[in-house]
Amino acid sequence: MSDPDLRVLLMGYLDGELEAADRTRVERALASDPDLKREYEEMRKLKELTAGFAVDERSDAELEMFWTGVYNRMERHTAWMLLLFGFTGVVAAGAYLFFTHPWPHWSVKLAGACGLVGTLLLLWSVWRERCRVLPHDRYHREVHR
Amino acid sequence: MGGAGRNPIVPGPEEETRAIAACQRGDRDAYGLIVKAYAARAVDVARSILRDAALAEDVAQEAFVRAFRAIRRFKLGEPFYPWLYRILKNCCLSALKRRPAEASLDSEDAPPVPAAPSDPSAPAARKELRAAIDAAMATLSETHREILHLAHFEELAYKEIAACLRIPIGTVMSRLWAARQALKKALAPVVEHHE
Repeated sequence: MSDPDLRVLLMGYLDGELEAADRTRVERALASDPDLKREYEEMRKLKELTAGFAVDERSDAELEMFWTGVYNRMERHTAWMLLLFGFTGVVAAGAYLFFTHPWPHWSVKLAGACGLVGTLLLLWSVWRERCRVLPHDRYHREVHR
Repeated sequence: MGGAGRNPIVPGPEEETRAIAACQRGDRDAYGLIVKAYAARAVDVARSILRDAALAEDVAQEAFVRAFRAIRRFKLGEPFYPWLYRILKNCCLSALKRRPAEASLDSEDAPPVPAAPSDPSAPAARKELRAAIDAAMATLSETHREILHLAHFEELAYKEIAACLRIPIGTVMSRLWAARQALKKALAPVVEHHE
């Protein structure tokens, strides 16, 4: 077979996807070119061989179980976000009270400040890593496209 | 072509659009209908990419969660499946990146193609044939496996395949030609047996 376009069009012909003009072109070529005809027959047999293996239907119970899994993940995501928001608020309020209240000795306040700075540094490090990874995350780009 | 393996819970495009519009308003029950309609296909796609049934189920669920989080950005009236497919594929690729050692896609790791079944119409033989096809598919490149999965097992029209893969229809045909050539070679003993 000399025309590479015909090989490609043969796929469309096999799958019933061609416009009338291209269909006629392929049919003429099939009638005159035994190599092309042979290749078409091989592809047709291959398609027949793999036919009937479409995606299995799932039972209602299986689908329900799958949906429950998805729902639980969605719910947990919301719960995590709320927990993080609440935790951040409590820590911020606690830190404010701790440092503004006159009671603890300055050395206790210094130790508390070290702990707070350490936590913030860790969070900053994690956040910076996320910012480095996300721009290269294909899914992230896909959603924003 | 089109729609094989799609659970009939969401029967048509209008109902689907209504369900997605409800999802965009935050209706999780409506999303349940969408999930149930596409669950089987999503798991099948994930399995074809990851070649790990348990991980495929997990990644498919994660893809649905991500899709729900992003669903407000989905343009109503456009086909939903290609959009979901792209999210799912990216989830699968991320999962593969996380565990490259176990989920290597090297064709050298693929099991050998089993011998052809004696009577292809018998149920047991159909199972054997499916195993032979799966083994042959496992020897192909990711690109070829992907397009064959969409065309042969999901039975999508070229337009839908083009939307899923974001490629022109001409590329769908040329890629399909190359993929079928590769599959024909891999399945040669089985094809000869059926002649």
